[in-house]
Amino acid sequence: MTIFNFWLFVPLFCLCCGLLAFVGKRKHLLNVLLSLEFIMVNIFWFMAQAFGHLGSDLYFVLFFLTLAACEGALALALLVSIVRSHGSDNFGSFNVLSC
Amino acid sequence: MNLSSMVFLLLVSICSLITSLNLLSSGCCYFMDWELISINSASVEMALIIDWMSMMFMSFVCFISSMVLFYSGGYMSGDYNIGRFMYLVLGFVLSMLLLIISPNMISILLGWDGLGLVSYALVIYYQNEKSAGAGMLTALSNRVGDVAILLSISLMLSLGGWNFYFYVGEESLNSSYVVFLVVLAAMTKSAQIPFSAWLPAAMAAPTPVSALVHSSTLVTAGVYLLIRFHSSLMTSFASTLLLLLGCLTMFMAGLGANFETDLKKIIALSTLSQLGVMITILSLGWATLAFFHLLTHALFKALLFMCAGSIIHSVGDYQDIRMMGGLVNFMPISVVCINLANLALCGFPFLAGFYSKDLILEVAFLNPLNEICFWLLALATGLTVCYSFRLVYYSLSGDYNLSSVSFVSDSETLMTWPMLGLSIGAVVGGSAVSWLVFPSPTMICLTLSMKLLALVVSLVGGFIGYVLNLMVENYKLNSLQFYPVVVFSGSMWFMPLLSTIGISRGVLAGGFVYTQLGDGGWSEYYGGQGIYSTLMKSSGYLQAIQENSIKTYLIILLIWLVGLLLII
Repeated sequence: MTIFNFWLFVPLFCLCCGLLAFVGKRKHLLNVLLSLEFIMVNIFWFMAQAFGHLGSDLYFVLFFLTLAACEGALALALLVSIVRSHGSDNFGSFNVLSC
Repeated sequence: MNLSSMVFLLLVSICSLITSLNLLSSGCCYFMDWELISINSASVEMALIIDWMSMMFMSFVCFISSMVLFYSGGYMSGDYNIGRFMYLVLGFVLSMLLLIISPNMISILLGWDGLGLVSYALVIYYQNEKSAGAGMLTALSNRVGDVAILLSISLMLSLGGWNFYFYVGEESLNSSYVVFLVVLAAMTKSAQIPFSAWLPAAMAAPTPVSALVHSSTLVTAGVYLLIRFHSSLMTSFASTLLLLLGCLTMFMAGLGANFETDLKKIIALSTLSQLGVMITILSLGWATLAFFHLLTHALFKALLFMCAGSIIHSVGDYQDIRMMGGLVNFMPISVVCINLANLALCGFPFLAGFYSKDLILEVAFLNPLNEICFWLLALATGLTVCYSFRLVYYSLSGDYNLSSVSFVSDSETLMTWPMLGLSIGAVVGGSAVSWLVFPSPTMICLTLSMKLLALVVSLVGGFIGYVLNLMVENYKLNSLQFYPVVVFSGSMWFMPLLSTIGISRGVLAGGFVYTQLGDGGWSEYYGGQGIYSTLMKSSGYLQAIQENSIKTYLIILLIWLVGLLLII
């Protein structure tokens, strides 16, 4: 693994933390979406470092960043819609079985 | 509508009478069949038979029904459902004609079941509880006969076809039980002794229905079937059975009519008695005589019912003869016709009934007959005259027993013209048919006492019937001294009670218990409602279990992913 660096463990570790936060947070949807963004940012960091050491095609990371931003906007739109329909973003107020 | 149907049926009657005269003189018989399906050489056909017997019967049926339909335009006028009534009566005539012209056991079922069904619909025409009970009794009694015919259809499969016209008298038909089943069917349809409860009960129908159905066509369908089967009948035990049952029916009905107070029930029991006469002479082997009596009886019995309807209509729709009287002063045409019908029934010389009844009696006395049947025949003849004259006293010539304000008149021409038409038939019908059907007279050789027996018995019966029933208000009721005998005779030997209450009371009570315990209880607990509540409760549990946050599932997902990664 020629592009492997010791410092790549940091974004990897942070990714796992973000994943844990994604499944672990049980109260607010905003936290879940925040953790999702955190995962995206760490993947961006990981990709940027990996592509930088490769020396070329660093612009791929821009594609990813654009998509992450769109996803964030979409998540916020969904949050707004949920808050409008359920009244709050508490997980208890929207369970799987009811409409 | 009654006018058009009357004209149509009258034309059909005249055409079939001419056809029957042609066929009588030429001796031809036309058999048309249409094979529907052939299963391994047993062929199911729709067959028609045009011979003199079926054509003559058809002409009489059509003539009587045309008169009855015209009459019911007057009797049922003002009724809200008269259209339904007319269609039902026409449907009845259609079923009867289908029965008359079919020599095939399967196609006779079309007419036979049709008769039972349409007569049920006609009996329940007035929608009250009594008609409902009477209709159910009629339909279920006739149903027993339908079942017998269905069983005989299945038994006739071994004969290779169902055209019984060709198989009667053959050994193959005699050796099977088809004859007994046909006898059972005829007994239920013609109301012989075990099954005679329905005929007086069916008087809950409107009077034109009684005139057509219960006097001339429905109840004679059984006799007609037996006439078609008579060659097979003679060779089996069924003829002895029929002789005894016919004589008993004849006697019981004649006795019962003497104690009955409802006008239509008297005439119904009179019909039953004459049916017994027909069955008796048929079982002695004289099928053509039975057919002759069938035809003449149809004429004067329909006339009798129509006159009774005219009387009932004018006294204000009640049928108790103790409330009628002195009608001879007010309704001359009806009284003339009812007199003609009564005298024809009694066998007054040279009217319609004389030719058939007198010939039947003489031929029966010629045959080797056992003594019970002999005395029953003689007594029944006397009883016939007895109740006829009793009826004449109570309704026509006695004192005026109606209410103080009444309108008794013969002003309805729609009712009087058909009566006059049928009375022509009652006067000339007997002689005309006898000269047609019996080309040469039978040789009767009897002793003087036997020859006079019919005459003496009739005169004595008439005298008894009139004198014994003379009633003034302060007379003692003599029948109270013989009360058990009177009740026994007047209620048809308790057979209607036995066959209805005996069977249905326990069954209905059991049905009520089942409805309470079963249909409203355990059957619901283990069936519909129980399963419903169990399903609802268990799915409620499942819903409560599954009511979690999404995060639980996401955590589980992550654990599985991490586990997979660690393993792999």
